[in-house]
Amino acid sequence: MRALACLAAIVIVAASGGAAQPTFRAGVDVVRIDVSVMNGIVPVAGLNKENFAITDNGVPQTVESISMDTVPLDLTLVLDTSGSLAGERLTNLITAAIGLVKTLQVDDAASLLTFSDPVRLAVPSTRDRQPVLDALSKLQAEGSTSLNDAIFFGLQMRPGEPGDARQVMLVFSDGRDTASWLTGADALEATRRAGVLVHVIELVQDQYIGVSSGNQPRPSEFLRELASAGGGRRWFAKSARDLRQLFGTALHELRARYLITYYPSNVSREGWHDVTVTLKGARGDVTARPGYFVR
Amino acid sequence: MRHTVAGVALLACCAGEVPAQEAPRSTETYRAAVEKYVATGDPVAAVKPLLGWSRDELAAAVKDVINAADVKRVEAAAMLHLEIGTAIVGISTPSAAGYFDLGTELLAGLTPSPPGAPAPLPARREEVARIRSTWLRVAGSAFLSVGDVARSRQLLSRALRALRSAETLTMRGMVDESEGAVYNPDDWDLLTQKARASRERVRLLYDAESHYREALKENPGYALAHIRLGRVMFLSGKAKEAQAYLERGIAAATEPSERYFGAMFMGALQQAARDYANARQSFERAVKIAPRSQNAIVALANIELLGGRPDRAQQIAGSYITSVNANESWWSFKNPTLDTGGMAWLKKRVVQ
Repeated sequence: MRALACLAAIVIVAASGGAAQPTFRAGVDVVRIDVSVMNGIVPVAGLNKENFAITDNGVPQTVESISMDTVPLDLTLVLDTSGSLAGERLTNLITAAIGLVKTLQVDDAASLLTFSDPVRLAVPSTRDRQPVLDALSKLQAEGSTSLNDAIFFGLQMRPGEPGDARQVMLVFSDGRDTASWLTGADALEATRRAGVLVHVIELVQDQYIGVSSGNQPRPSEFLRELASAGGGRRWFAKSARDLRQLFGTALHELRARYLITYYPSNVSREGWHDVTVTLKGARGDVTARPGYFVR
Repeated sequence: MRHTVAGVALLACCAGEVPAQEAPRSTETYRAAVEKYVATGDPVAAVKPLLGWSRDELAAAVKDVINAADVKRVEAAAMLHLEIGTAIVGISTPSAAGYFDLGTELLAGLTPSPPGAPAPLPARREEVARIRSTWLRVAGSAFLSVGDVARSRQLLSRALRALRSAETLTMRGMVDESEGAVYNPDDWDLLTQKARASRERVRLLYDAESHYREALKENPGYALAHIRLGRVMFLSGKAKEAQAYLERGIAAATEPSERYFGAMFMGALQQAARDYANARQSFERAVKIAPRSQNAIVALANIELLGGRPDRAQQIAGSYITSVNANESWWSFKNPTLDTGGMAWLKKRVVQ
């Protein structure tokens, strides 16, 4: 890891999490791409490296290796506890989050970050489930929504160097930011640079039918962009009762991801790299982060 | 959060914590609470005997104090209500509104001269107007600090009717600015909805600008009005004007909160211009003024990230988030609209 840090001083690749994670070998960048392949709600298993076509800034790349479901998760739960969640919504959120934490595997780690006006690290990353479960059961809902700031803090809690675990963040919110200093653009830029896989669950009004009406705005564009920048998905919960199922779906999806590595060739080193991942000889809906950043 | 600590104690007092021996619910008990506040300046200790009182019981005691026509006691009681309401506003807005409502009744009872007495001197009339206006402004600022712009606007309008001042006009502008920030055309699907959101945002920012300009007519040297005007110019895309007002405001700033706002808004302006080196210095100044301010910390960490120092960003954000204490006073800088200067002025008048 120390050698890695020295190399990082030469070429610091901000995207260092699970989704697009450059590491280094003999001075050559290695990029790790965290890819989801779904057929509807069912993960597509059994693919091999010949099934994936990757381009880096438009240049085709050779897939070095591929693995699935062998890497433990380091999951950060980023939960909205603003006043609008008070009551049944919070109870359902707590139940859903507890259900998710209980289904983590032994080697997985979890941390809990909550936000209303303040952003609080309720539990730092740990493999011990009990502190997380205890903190979840004590959540209270009050205040405004510092969503952008919470995302930023969640991303900065990531280790500076890629470890063995797959860094993932699951963001839950029921609305728009009302109290952050950072803008949505700041949070998206931080997400692009962090390389952490980001999934989003958004609780929307039951009445939303695909177009905003009356005083009811549409679901957050920002949260859609956040999931896209983080290489993850955004799910809508139309009622608090949906939450438990969606938290389970999110975890299921996290487990069913392919970790693909390649050594970039014939591309310039610095700056933003657009990455595309497509399937060859297989069918499915591919989700991966849109690229990575090299300074 | 300073006010939350007091607020939790006060709310516990007012909502259920049963004392070993309950004080009698009489006007005398209420008066004794006010006297204790005057003697100690401690609202938490003073309010304990009033624990469990209903609104009607409190209202009856307030009425008795007003009828007694002791202006010093009336003013002290109004101040106690302001302290309690401000302390609990972040926990229960309706409860705070209840205390403020009774406080405004006390303010109305704060007559320049008792009935039948000779007409008061103009100086006394002005003094009473200043007390009322400042009290209403502080209460309005408390609601603004929790995003209740409707209640805030109502109280600030009354404050302006009592006495027009640069401070109140500036606070009134901050209400418009706060409400304007809520309107985002991107939240809507239909063009008509987008247009309406855009119109509202522009209108409210314009109203904010007008209030800040009026404040500067009242007091051309009022730093906060310069700084907030700079912020509105920035939000309206007028970078040059924004910089000029911010520089003037920062030069005139004396209060920590003014210097903090000046540094934060100047940093945002510099960040938007991709002047990361100067933005970093501005945010560092803000952190120096308010070392535990979440806004200042996240702004500084973000500028480090944008400036190509992700390790430093992680260090700043990580050391903050792993050491946050729920009772810290960061709140007053997170959304520092509470008029602490007005509160201090009022308190100094009544606490011995």
